[in-house]
Amino acid sequence: MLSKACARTIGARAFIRPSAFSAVRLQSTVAANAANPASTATPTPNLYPDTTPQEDTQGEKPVLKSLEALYQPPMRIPVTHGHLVADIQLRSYEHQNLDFFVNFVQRAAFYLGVPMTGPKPLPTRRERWTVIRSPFVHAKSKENFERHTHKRLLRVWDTNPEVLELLVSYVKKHSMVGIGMKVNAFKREPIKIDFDKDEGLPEGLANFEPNTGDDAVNAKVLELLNSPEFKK
Amino acid sequence: MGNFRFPVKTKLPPGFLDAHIIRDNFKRQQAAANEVMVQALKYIARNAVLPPKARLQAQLQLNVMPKYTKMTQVKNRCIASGSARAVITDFRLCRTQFREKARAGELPGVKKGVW
Repeated sequence: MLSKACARTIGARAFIRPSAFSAVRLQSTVAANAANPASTATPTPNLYPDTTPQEDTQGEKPVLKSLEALYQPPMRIPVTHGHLVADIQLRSYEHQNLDFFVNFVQRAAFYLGVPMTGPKPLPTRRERWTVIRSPFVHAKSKENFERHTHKRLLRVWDTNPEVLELLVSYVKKHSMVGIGMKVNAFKREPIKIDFDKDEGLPEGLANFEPNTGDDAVNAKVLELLNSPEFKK
Repeated sequence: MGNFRFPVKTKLPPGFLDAHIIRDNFKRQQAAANEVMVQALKYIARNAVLPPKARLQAQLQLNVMPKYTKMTQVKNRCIASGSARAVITDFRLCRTQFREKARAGELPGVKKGVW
C-alpha cells in the first residue's frame, strides 16, 4: 500500500538522497546464509533486489528509489514555521506492532509533504492485578497479571487542515488491529475582540452555558416545588 | 418469560444469566429511570433554605419510593459467573473468571506479571 503511494508521488518530489543508501541488505543476506548453511542449496527468490553498486551490475534493471527507501529509516520534511497543527498519539498493548505502525505513519506523512516530528515515547502505563489462584480458600497462593499500554507521540507542523485530514483518513484506512489513535488538532484564529472598547464577549461565547448535566434535575425541582403538594 | 416476577417489565441483559444478574440488571434500569426524581427530591429534602414543610414532603415521597429505584441497591457483578465478590472493575469479571480468561489469552494485552 505504501509502495503504491511512493511510486505515485516520488516523481514529483526530490527528497531522496541516493548517497544515503548503504549495503544493509547485502550484509543481512550474507549473515543469514552463514548462520544456516543448509539454506544455500535451495536459492530463495530474491524479493528484494540488491541495490548496491557492484562490478557486474551493468545489465541489472534500475530500482525505484521509493523501494530502496523502504529499507531506510523514514525520511522527514524539516519544520520551517514551527506552527504546531496536531498531536497524534498512538497506543497499543504491544510495542512491536506499534513501532511498525508509527514508521508507516511517518512515511505516509513524508510522501504527503507533511513535516512531522517524533516518535516521542510517552510513559508506558502499567496496570497490575493480583488474584488468588484458587477459586476457594488457599488465599496465600496468588498470581500476578499485568498489562502495559505503550504510547507514542507524533507531532504535525506547518500543515493545512485539509492535508491533515487526508493524512488521518489515510492512516485510519490502513489502521492495524490492536492499535488506537488519538488526534488533537489545533486551530489558529485571529483575535477579533477590541479590548479597548467594552464590547462584551463575541456571539459564540456570550450565549455559552456550561453543560453540567443538572438541567433535568433543576427543572424537576422547580416542578415539584410549584406543585400543590409542596405548596400546602 | 410468561410470568415476569418483577414489578416493572424490563429488558434482559445479554450474556450469562442468573437470578442475581437479572435482579441487579432490573435495579440498574429502574435506578436509571428514576434518577432525576430521586435527585430532585434529595435536593429539596436536604436544602436548609427551603420551608420545612416542603422538605418533609420531599423526604416522605423519597421514603415511599421502592428500594429498587435507589442507586445504593446496585452491586457490581461478574458478567461471566454472576459472582458479586472480588469483581475486577476493568473487566467486570470476578477473580477466578479473570484468571482463567487471562491465562487463556482472551483478555487483550493481559499477561503474566513479571517485574
